[in-house]
Amino acid sequence: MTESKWGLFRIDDRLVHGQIVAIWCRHLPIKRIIVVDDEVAKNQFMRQVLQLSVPNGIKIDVLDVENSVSILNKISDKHHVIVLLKSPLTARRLKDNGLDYDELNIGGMGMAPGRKNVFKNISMNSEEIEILKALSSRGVKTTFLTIPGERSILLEEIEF
Amino acid sequence: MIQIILISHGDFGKQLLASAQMITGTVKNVYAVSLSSQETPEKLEKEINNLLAVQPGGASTLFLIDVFGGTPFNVSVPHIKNENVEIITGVNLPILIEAIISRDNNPLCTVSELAAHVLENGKDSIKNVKSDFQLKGQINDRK
Repeated sequence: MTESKWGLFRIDDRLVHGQIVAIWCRHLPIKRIIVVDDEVAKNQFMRQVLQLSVPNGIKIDVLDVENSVSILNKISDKHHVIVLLKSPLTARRLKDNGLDYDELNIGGMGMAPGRKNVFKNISMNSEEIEILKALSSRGVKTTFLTIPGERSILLEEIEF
Repeated sequence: MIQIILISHGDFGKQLLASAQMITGTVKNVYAVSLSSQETPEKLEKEINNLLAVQPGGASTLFLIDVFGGTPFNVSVPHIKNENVEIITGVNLPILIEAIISRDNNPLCTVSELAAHVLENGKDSIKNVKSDFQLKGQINDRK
């Protein structure tokens, strides 16, 4: 059902930034951005900062993983929503906790110790790669794409 | 002395500083931090914290950010809790030049005064030449 498809369900370690606000929010009919991250949810100040980052007319919420599942599952117009996560680990935790999603966009993961570059601006460590492969085998279609119009690639097409 | 830190997507800040120095000459205590497309926000935060750490205690910092709401903005904003920090977004060359010259000519100026001053200056520097100066008439007359 199209109603269960999120506007964008994305892993991006920069969370809300230029590409999301300036590009994705114009490309898709987005009314709401939901950040799911335990660290950011605890940080009152960062939550205020994120409020500043979104244009007028777009609502933003910051949720912790545990509480987010029931809230997200209840949303009726998912296609108007961008869900942002920092890492594959959060994506797996959400799936394990019963969140309904079947497409995953990998938009940005920076270079860090232990990670190697796998595609364009995406770098991962072996644990993260395994998590994504496992999610894919659970029926999550995983695409690597930073902004619309750029070259995209499926998880299966990448040689890790 | 007020420390000036430019943060930008890519080398915009670095190049802006290079261009500013064509006008001001070589400057001290002005740093440009570039966010690369490969970088994590955490790495950028570390670079900034390192720069702030070399400041003697009580010294002030003026952040000049390329764009409101991007990653450079997101990593600088937490520092605004510090009363010795100000942030100006949408930095352009006139803002940078004015920040350098004002700071260097007014050593007693506070970072808040400096921020307010360069903001005004920066906004004033953006003009539509024809309409702002009503040059249309003069150009036709010269024919």
